[in-house]
Amino acid sequence: MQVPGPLKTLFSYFPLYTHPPLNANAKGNKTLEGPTIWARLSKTNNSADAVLSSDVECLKWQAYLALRGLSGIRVRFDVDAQGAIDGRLPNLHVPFDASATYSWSADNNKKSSTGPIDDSTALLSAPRIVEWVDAKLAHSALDDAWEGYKDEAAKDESRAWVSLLEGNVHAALLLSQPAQSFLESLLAPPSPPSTSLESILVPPPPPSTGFLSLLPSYSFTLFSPFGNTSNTTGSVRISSATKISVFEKYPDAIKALSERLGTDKWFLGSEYPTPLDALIFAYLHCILQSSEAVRKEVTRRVNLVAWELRVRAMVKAAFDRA
Amino acid sequence: MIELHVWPAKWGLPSMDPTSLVLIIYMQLVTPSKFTLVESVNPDLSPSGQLPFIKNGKDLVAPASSIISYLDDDANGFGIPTLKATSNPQDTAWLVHAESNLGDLVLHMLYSLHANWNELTHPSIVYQFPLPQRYYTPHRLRESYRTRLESAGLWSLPGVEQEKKTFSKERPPKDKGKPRDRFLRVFERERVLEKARTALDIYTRLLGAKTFFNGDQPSLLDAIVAAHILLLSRPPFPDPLLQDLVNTSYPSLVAHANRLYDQTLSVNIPTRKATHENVLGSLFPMIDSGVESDVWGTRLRVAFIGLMLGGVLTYVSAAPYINPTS
Repeated sequence: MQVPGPLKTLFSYFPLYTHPPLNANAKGNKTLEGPTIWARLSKTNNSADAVLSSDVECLKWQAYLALRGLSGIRVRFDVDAQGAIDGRLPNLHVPFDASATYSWSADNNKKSSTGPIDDSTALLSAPRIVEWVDAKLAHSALDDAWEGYKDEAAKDESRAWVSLLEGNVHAALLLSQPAQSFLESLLAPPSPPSTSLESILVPPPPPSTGFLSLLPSYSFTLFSPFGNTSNTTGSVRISSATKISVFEKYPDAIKALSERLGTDKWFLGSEYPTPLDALIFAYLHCILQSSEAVRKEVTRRVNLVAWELRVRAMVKAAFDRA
Repeated sequence: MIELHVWPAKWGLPSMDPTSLVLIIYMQLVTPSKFTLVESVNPDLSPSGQLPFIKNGKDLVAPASSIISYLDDDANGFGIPTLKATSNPQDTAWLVHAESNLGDLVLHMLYSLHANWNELTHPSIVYQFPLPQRYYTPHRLRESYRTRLESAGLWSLPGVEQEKKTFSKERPPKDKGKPRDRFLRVFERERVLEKARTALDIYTRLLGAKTFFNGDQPSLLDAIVAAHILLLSRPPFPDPLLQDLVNTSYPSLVAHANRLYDQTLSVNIPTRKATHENVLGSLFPMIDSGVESDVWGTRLRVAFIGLMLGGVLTYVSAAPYINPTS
């Protein structure tokens, strides 16, 4: 069926232009110079040679890459979170390596790719970074006895420290950030739920109007051109009693961390850096850049500050700005 | 006399909620039988908005960690020997790990598994609520745990999601749906079992052959682990996914939990039910009477009420002067 004449003339006022796919990176180059990590921008240091992100998740993966011994990785901050896989940064953009063990994905791509898709690079989401590093170094953490920790008890203990960091310390960090104004929270892209306060606090915070009230707690999704946003922070009530208890538990957590480190080179007395060290470095670095309330606990502990400084130099050395 | 407000008792245990049960065991260890349990279903009375909370004269304390520091504080005149664990720094980490990992497993069993929710948890709690709340509060309770379980990967309801899809599409692939549905469910259950095994193995290794986690005196870590194991092994779950796992593969943890039960919970603790005071008031949200720095909120509220009353008064006073035009 043909488009009728008058409609055709109407549509001719709104022509459709098709542009070729963009393969350029930040500098405008078409080729990928080396593995590049897409991370969230540093809030405090905006100079041209800032390479470390100020977001805990991105920084922990940057630290992981550096501490596993890789270097020469580029960093770019100009990609928005909504452009990443699953809407979560960091992602690692790597040149395609046909000899790597994960090339099963390459075979799939070859069969189904139609049209001008660039097969020469692959974008990996955060969990797959581990596989990539293992393939590149031809050595996985599972090959080591106790995953690189001193013994089995240390490996179990590392899990406990991970929950401490991702629980108490993360909650204190989240609460110490300045609250977003209503307008900002409407326009901001949706944050991944795993890092929100609701999933960290035990027991979970109640809905904003209470459990027993007739009024439903408001939580709405706004469909805007910037993507769907939903005001989930407005739907739970973080009471002042909860905030007080979070800030009570936080100094104990930092004290325990500092006592456990003592004067060791790496946490739990490991010989080589472990993923736990990467996580701890990420949290310490972000704490030292946030508000005074959380920062003063860490600055009081000299060994933590010295450790963070040393690891920061190591991590910075592994990255260049793309 | 200290009053500890907790979720109601069920299945032979003094509370059906893991955090409440931890506190009951802890308080029995430090101040045996010197407190009263109040079974309540009104979390809105608590300063943090969640049960458990403590009422001691005029002091209201919540959440659980604040309660523990309140009890330890000598200024409050309890004079109890503090049950602080040994001075190892990793004990702080173990407490958090136990509460979050084992807590996730218990919440999964109670609130996420469909069969358990419909046949065990929901009927146990729904009749305790007064009449209007009976219809919406249990659902809100379940939703409040959802974010946490989702981020832990333990909120898995593949059966329910398949059902929703059949409503949206006209012709659901019913025959293709069933075996795939079953496969998804089995896969999800395996994943949950794997997670449970990793967590429970860690605690078995930590306990080893000792009586308690920190030597021969029970501590807060013992209370936490025992409370969660009791809630995993004792209730009569219709879907005994983790219950079977705990009872068959982890005898040392079950023995530890039973030991703590005999020491603390087999004694009768004075209990009373919370009075349903002010049912009408509970229909409307409570104002947080704590240190609220929300000056704007109060100002806006006062302005709104003022404008409202002003408008009503103006209308009422101007009513005789308005001529009804024909």
